[in-house]
Amino acid sequence: MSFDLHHFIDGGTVAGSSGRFSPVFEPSTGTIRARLPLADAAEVDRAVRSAAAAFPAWADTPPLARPRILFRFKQLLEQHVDTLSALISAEHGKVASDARGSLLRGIEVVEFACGIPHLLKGEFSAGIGEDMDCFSLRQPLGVCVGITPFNFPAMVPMWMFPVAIACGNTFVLKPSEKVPSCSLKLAALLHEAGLPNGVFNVLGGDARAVDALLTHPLVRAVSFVGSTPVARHIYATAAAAGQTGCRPWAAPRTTWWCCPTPTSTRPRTR
Amino acid sequence: MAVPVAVAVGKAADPLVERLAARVRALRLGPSTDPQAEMGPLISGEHRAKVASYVDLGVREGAELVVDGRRVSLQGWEDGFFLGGSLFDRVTPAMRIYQDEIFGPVLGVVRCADLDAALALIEANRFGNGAAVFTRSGAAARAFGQRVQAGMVGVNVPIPVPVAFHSFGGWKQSLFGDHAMHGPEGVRFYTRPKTVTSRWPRSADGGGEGGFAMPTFG
Repeated sequence: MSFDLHHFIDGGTVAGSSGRFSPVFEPSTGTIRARLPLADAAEVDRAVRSAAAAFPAWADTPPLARPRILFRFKQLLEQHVDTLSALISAEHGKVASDARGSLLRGIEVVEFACGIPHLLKGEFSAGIGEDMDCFSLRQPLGVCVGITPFNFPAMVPMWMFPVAIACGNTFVLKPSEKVPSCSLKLAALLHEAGLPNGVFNVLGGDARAVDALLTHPLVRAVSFVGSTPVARHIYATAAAAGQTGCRPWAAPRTTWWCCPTPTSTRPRTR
Repeated sequence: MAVPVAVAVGKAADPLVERLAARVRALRLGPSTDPQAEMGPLISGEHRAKVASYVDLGVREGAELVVDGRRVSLQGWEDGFFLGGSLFDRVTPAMRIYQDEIFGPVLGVVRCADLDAALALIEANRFGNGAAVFTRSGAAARAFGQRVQAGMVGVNVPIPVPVAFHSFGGWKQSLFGDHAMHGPEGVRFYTRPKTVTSRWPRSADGGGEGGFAMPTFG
């Protein structure tokens, strides 16, 4: 019954080539449901280069055109709420209402990112001197990396990539090796929505892939949610590698494991 | 913010523990296919053993184990990584079950004399991701919101992760970096600023020489 999962690179599924795998459990039954390939440095390099190659055209895509893909993505997410919630529950174990609530919180971030033209508007000061004007704008960074924990298989990745790609960046997501399937499904839905190849990539992997991502010269930003010792390591490593302008963001995970995640539409305060 | 500690202020302690105990005992464990289930399994067998070992530790450390979830088993799902909820009373900040993030269904109650003492506990903690107050007192809620040393604050809300159009981030050792995330801070994190100062002289000769001094305006 167990099957092999894959990476998602440059718009398509890619089988693992490192020869290393990690079992993906179903915590309710204690059984192994799949094997996840663990990326080595060469697979990390392939994903990062794919994202780097996609960056110039994606950054030049007008800020009205980028969120049109996210609007379609949101529609697809809503059509697949049950499928995605089931994947979250299968690999994490959380109850159905909690899985669904955490997914809805992620969809809220997609809705926020759909407003990116307004959020990216700059500032302009006319006539600051004779024949002179001054204006400020915000530009995307390049390849951004997300490293996410097991406790929220959809929500925490969705804190990161919708805003990152709406701003014009490209993205490589390394989800927890315990809960990879939801992220792989999100990648498929993004491409079904019309996202260009290479803008969003997902790598199966463990600490080896993380270290290769942190030190890759084409990576410009790293976002992480997880345990404090790992957060400290990721922040220090990414900052040290950041001579080229990498900006790290690392936070210990946030969770409440036994209570349904509140949603803005259906708050639970119990 | 795995909510491992509940701080009971003043006379709230006895009724709180009593009601929490009833709630924890009544927690319905189950797989996600059970629509009535309130709590699923832990992520792995190793993690289940680790969380259970913290219950053992709390007993050794002298906390009062009010509800013991270690021997709860779920018929038909014995091979799953299920663990019942456990509740400790009279936990102290010196205990490891207070200091460590257990990341499982173990709640410890610390008793505090007043709100100042409760806020001091939070301030003394090396982490500051999130904290919540449960009260009917507006004054207590406002004081908590203003003074608490944490980046995400709930008032009668247990998981104060804000809506997508507000930003959040932990304080102290709960965030490493210069930015929070989510909302406008997320946009700032994923972009960098550029500022252009431009001059388009209206005269045909280019408007005179630019000079070597730092330009001044106005």
